Amino acid sequence: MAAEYEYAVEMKGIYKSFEGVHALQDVSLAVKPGEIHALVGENGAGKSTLIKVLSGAHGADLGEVFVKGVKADINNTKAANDLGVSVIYQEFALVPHLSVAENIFIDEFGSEYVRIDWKKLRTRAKTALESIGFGDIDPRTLVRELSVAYQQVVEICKALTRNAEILVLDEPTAVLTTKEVDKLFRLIQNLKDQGAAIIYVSHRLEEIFRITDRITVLKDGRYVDTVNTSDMEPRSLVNMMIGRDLSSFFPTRDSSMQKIGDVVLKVENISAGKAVKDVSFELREGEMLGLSGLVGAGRTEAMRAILGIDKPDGGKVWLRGKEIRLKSAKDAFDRGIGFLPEDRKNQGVLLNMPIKYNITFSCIKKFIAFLGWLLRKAEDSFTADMREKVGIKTNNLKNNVSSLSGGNQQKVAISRLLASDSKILILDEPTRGVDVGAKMEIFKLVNELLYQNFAVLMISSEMVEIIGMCDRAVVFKDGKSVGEVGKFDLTEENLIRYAMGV
Amino acid sequence: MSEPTIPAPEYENAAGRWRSVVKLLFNYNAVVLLIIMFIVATIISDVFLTPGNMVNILRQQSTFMLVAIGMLLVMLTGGIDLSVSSNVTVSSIIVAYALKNAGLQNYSWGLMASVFLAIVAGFVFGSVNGFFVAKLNMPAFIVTLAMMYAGRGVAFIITDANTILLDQSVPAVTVLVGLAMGSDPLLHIPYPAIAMAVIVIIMGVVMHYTSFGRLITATGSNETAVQLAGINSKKYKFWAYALCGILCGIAGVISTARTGSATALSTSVSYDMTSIAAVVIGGASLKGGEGNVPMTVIGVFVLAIIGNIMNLVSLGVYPQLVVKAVIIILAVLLKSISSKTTD
Repeated sequence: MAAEYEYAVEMKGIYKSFEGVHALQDVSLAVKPGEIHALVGENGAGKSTLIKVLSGAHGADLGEVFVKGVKADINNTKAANDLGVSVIYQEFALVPHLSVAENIFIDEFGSEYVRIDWKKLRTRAKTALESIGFGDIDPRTLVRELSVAYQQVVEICKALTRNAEILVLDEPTAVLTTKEVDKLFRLIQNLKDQGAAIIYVSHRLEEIFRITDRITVLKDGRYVDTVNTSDMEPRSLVNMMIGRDLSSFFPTRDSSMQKIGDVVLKVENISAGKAVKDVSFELREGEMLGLSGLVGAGRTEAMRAILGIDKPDGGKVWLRGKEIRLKSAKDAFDRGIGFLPEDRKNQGVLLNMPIKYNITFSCIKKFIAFLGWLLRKAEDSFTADMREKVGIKTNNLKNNVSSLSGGNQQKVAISRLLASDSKILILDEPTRGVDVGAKMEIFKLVNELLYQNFAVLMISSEMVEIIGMCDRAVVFKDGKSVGEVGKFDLTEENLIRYAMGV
Repeated sequence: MSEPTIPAPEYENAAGRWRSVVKLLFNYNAVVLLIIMFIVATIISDVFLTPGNMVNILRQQSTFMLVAIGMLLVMLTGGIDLSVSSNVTVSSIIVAYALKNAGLQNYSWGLMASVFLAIVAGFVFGSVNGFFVAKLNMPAFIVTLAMMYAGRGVAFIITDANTILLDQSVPAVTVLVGLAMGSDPLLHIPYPAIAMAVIVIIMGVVMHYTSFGRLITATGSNETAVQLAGINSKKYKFWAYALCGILCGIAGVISTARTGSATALSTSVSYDMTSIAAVVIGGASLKGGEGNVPMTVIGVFVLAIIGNIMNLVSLGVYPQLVVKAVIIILAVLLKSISSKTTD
């Protein structure tokens, strides 16, 4: 590739916000041809949003993108593909029931093929696979029969047949074995030598230091710096990713009102499926415990196994000193453990039902007389009280939950837990998709609950939240609880060290 | 960044008021449809508004109404029951078989026992659906399709493909047929219509005023969320099918009573499609979580009046089907337009 331009892709001053929350502010990224460029930052630093702007999945509010030195308008993913930008996401865009060859050339169906020339299709697929050193993949194999690593290779091959010169790999090694990672790296190296520009998004520091040439660091949606990988060492990179002012983000907690008591929930060596390997922790009364770690570290899966929503393979759970085995969410609920799922819209609330019903449906037994007859008056006054207590902003509790903002929807979901008298609350990403004001209110409410001796466990991917709110944190890595950080050691550096295994 | 302010009251200005009226009309389009059809029917036919015709409609609709309410329960959970015609037929055959072939008509308690047996049969039939759909998580469409065939088979096996003709001179049968064809002495409302009204009101109350109704709807609205909130959603799903079965059983008894006979051929009566159409016209969603008893009643009458008026003006059976299709599409179209414009 001739270099009439210095950068294969250059993004300048990108701004993007979602419903008032700034996801990207003045972010820049410049990648040279023949370079592997790492994009790093904590969860929520804005990496994915930046990638989505580049791929045309999101439009930027402000800023410019240049591809091969020419200003580009990337309004949709097709425009990005036409410019040679291809993103390989963690969830592949492959059709599992079609063959490798069909998947590679899937975008040609319907336009070029009136009659499919299967032989030619397979030969072309074979050639394409051979050119990247994976001639051993049979183009006739169904994609679902391939290993994850090979599926990834097919995805990359698909991108390359469309003349992708700028390849974005989003956490490509998350699901691969060590051997497969080696193979993938050889492929990436190979593509680099052919002049491709590769943007490599990863949490794994070892990999970043192993294969990338330069690194761009993002933090809280802002650009920090771009550095040569060879000038850095893991510690200094981590320091660039963290360190910021936490004050004023979180309500202050009056420690004189908080009494941390006995252990209410104890978990030992829980394992479940592939995602949860060995998880142990203790949760005390009146305490807020954080489960920290990177996305995909197995925290949600671990809690689901502990609560019996998914079946655990092994391990023990004690509730207030008594060993128990929970079999379903109902089981956990009956024992006073309330679970707030991370996917609010699909699992947390009933969007198309009234706010009132959402608050009371899981504790409906409180509001029934003979034969299930509903005591509507009692329900009305109870939900009105709850609205005051939790601060749900609506003028009518009969409105559907879908009419509320994300933060208020979450408050409704939390109200449901409180309504059913759960004293142990498991909050999975309680502030996801919630604006700053509502976040503050939710945390104020949590403080109130702690004063009343609730035990609260919060799964959060935002380390600031863990540090700002929790009394203690357990850090997860690759399905294991790898470390515990006490109140006074709660720093991003400590959390990230455990989470990344530095 | 801050919390969005509380939306202003809906009736703030004239435009807003107009919008909410339009929205109301869209959402309750079945009511509008019913009123329009009532007026049209009154204009084009002198017979329509006569007491005789009204009584006729009520008598005919009693079975369809019960099945439609059962279908509503199932559809609220997000399911569907394609086996209702088979269920109604099997139940109608069982009551006739018990009376005549099993000889229960010769006992003083025979009628009660036969009716009870038929309703139990309906319940068992529905429970089988419920078991496979709710407990084993199988798709409702497939399970009830299979049960539709099974029911047909059972109906033909029991009757040996013959019509069971009841002897109306036997006291038990006289009472049964008398109940179906008779009416109360005061207002001359047919007994089946009274039975229908009582059951509809009970179901309406159950769905609106009890936790059972609330949780069936919640289950259909978002089963995952309901389950994660610690509720045994399978129980509610099961009972939707089981209750639908009971209502089909009652409908079966009424159908035998009306004709004094039962035949496996009535499996081809389209209780299934008619009741689905009625529920959908009443604003229910195939995805579940939406719909209620009063609107389903409206839906049944919309279809009933179309059928009735077209009979009165002697429109053939086949054009009738086309007109029904147009009405169904129209009702659902209006609803989808309204949900698009208001969301």
